[in-house]
Amino acid sequence: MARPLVFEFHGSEIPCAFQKVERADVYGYVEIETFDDQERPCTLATVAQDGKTLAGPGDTALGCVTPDGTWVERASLQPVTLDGERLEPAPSSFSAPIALGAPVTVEQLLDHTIRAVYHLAGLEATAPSEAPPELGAGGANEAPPELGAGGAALLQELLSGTIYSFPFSYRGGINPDTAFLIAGDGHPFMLVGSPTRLEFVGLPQTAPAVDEDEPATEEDDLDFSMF
Amino acid sequence: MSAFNLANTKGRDAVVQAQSVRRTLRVRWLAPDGRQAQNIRVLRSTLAHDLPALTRETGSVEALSELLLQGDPEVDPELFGRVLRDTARVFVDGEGKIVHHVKQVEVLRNPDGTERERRPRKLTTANTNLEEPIRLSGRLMKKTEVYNRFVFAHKRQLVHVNGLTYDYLFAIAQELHAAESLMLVGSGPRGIGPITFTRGATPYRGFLEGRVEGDRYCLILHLSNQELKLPTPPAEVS
Repeated sequence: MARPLVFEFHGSEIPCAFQKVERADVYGYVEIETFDDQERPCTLATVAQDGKTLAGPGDTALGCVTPDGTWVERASLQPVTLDGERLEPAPSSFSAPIALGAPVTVEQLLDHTIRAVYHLAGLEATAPSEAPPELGAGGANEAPPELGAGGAALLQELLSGTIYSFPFSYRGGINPDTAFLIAGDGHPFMLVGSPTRLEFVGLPQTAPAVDEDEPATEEDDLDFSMF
Repeated sequence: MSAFNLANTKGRDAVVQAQSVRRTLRVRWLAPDGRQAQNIRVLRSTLAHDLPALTRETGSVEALSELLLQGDPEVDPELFGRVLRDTARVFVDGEGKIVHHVKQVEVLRNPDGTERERRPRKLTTANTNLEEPIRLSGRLMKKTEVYNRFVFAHKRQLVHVNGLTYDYLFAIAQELHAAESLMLVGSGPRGIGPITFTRGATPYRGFLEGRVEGDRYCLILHLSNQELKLPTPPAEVS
């Protein structure tokens, strides 16, 4: 099982196992099979610029070169912005507990495109409704001791409609995604996505061609003598 | 940016623009000596040197194993490391020959991988700028109730192309802003059909959100092809 994410919430650390939810897991998927005229299966290949060299899956590789064609190792490259400013890679989200700060709004979530969905299965172990009756004297609202009360409190917040957000990077890198913790269909989820560049638009504001304070003169009258 | 034919709840349609809202971080990669590096694609092997071809050539896996001990038949020294540019994708048969006439079949599979249906492949067609517009269905869903029901994987921002369409879109945005809701938009007479932007692309359900700030507006078309829910456990699949 993958390493759990650790959330820091109201002073307690909540380790949380999770698993990816793909569209194919929910609805199934479509496979495309290709056949030739004689019903024999075909596969995709890459044909090189010479028109005859054929490369199959795994037969090509990516590399990095300088303008004069010198090979450089990818690990030795330094990322910079277009202005030349150095970009420092963000650490992996698994390397340290993730502090959950102030909740975010629905609009902030809607400003992002979502590319991955994870079910926070570890957090669900603390769900009051899911807790088995033999849980103990604390009753259904008490979280299992190994997860702590923080997990139950966080789940309760999510189920009540609160949304938390934080930068997320699975392996670390220069452009971390944004993750959102929400509850949907009665379960806690983590949505991972990217911000978009939405902007308010209006009609272009142009300077008036005439001074509106200036009284109309006879020059405004239509002059047909010019024809 | 692409043209988008949109009809409002009164059935009045206008062609506006749907623009991408993707934000990309533009990065340059510098080599240790400060020069800019670029990605290249190189050839490692070819179909003529892969396992099936070499097995065919030698007659058996055992004979190929012997050949591999003696030399490097899987490497073509003339081609290895060649930089690839202007490549094309082709279909090849089991013998590695290019096939020019192919037949494609779609196999629909259940979440557990079992086959549900098999049918000839049908490419989706774009439907965002046809004579028949994409319609506002009139079905409103409160933002606070919809954000955790669907996975919004893509977005487009709808913008005006002239003064008339500014008024048209501003009015829609204002209505949605006041209702604090998203409206289901889509193809077909009721506006509940899927939206496809380009030929062969994934069809999506569309949800239109409107925001207003003074005399400026922001109309966001959220696109989703997945509900936010857990897969049904295998035992419950009928």
